[in-house]
Amino acid sequence: MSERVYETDALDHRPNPGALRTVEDSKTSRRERFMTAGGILRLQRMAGNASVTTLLRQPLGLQRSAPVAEDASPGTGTAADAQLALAPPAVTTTAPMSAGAAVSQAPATAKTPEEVAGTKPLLRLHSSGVAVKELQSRLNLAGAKPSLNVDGLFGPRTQKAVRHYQAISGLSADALVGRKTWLALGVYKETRSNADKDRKAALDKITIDTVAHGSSTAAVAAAKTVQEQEWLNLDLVGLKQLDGLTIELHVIPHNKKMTDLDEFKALKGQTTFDGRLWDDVRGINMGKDGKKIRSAVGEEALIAIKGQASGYGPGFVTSHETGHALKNSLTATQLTTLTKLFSDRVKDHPPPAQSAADDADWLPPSWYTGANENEYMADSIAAYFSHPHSTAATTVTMYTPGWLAKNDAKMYAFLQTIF
Amino acid sequence: MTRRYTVYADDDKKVLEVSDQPGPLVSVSAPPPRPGQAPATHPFLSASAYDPFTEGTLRQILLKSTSFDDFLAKLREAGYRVVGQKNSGA
Repeated sequence: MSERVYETDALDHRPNPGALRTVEDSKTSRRERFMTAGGILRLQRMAGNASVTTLLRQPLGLQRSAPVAEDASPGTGTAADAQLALAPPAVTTTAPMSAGAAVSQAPATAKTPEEVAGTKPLLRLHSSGVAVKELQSRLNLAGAKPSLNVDGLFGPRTQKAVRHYQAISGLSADALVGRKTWLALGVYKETRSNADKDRKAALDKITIDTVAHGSSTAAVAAAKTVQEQEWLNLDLVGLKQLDGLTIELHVIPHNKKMTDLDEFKALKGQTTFDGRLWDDVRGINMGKDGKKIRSAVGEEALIAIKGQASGYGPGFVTSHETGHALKNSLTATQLTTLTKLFSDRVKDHPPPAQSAADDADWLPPSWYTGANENEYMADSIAAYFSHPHSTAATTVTMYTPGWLAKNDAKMYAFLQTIF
Repeated sequence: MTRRYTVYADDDKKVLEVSDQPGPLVSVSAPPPRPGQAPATHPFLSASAYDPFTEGTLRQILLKSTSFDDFLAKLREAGYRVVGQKNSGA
């Protein structure tokens, strides 16, 4: 994937790289950071160890990403199951609207890589079969002397070789071939490597741009943080749906109107369906147009601008609009699932239609989240990544993966299949 | 039963979903309302608009409409394709 930050009002001049100026650092170094982040995220997916991810991310200056509750299996999602997977409740440590804000919690129930990838059986003396053959092959590759016959029979010679290998690998020499021994033999490392290769190939076919338009570096960085959280955490299936697409997020400077920007000037003087003048609207999701997915967010919704408080919670607008854009990553089956999820939700919990008062079953603003499946998905994604609609305590509590898992387990399970 | 319709522009792009129940008007393309802001509502329909470039036109048609059916008729007159949704009263 290429990932760029542009400081230009004339994206139409692309793709002439010479006409572009990168704001933060070189394109190459940003790409490297991105791929490193992707590697960590993939490690997290494999390992389920968000705490490790957090630690690894810190030196890179990147934010922790998806609040993946690894133990909750997609599709099995009862509320109770999902809640268990999230225990203890998510802790949000959101820094106030600044670059590097919005660090969300890590679920505590972490698995080691071998536990997550643990498809290999426990082997011991007298075991037999294909797995034993693999074990013998790997022991031979590791230098077993004498070399073992790869016959699939775990006899005394294989037992001795295992014991020796465990001893030199710093493992308990019990001759039981479990997760740690398989891991030492490189089984999971190889699996992870293959997964990395597939993801890298998919990511290489996607371009993610952040367009500054003169907005502050801090605002652009905050926008990129959310982009990284959401796009880079997509499952491989979703990434493949985005093949060849360019995803643009424009940051509207606090002292400019959205329609001052070339990409949105066609909306100048027009109104939204609910009666707002587009010139005064501080964000947009344009959907997919050809090979481009374009959205925008006001600078003041990303960082604190004196006298221009957006009122939204940290990262919310970016997360919400990105949530809309993420619909382009869904397969036909997932789109059908989303439609059914919304339909069932409305049937089971009719949303308030005409009131600003919120409803405990719908993310606030309830009437808005319950208005259509797009808003339902976009707000649910914002909750999944802990970006609350406002800073009100109740809202902050609800915009969390923990709330979703407990109160809308089906949507939570659905999001787990996407991210 | 609630009547629900999907409205398409010339290029078969979905631009509006509308039902005959009084309720909020939503622009899917625009950001959500700021916290505490009440929804824009309508006395004889609720709707979600999906295409920023046609929203203004659709709103103008709505403002000239006298009833839900009149709105649908005016949309058709303007060249939009109005399709009743399955399992609704449309």
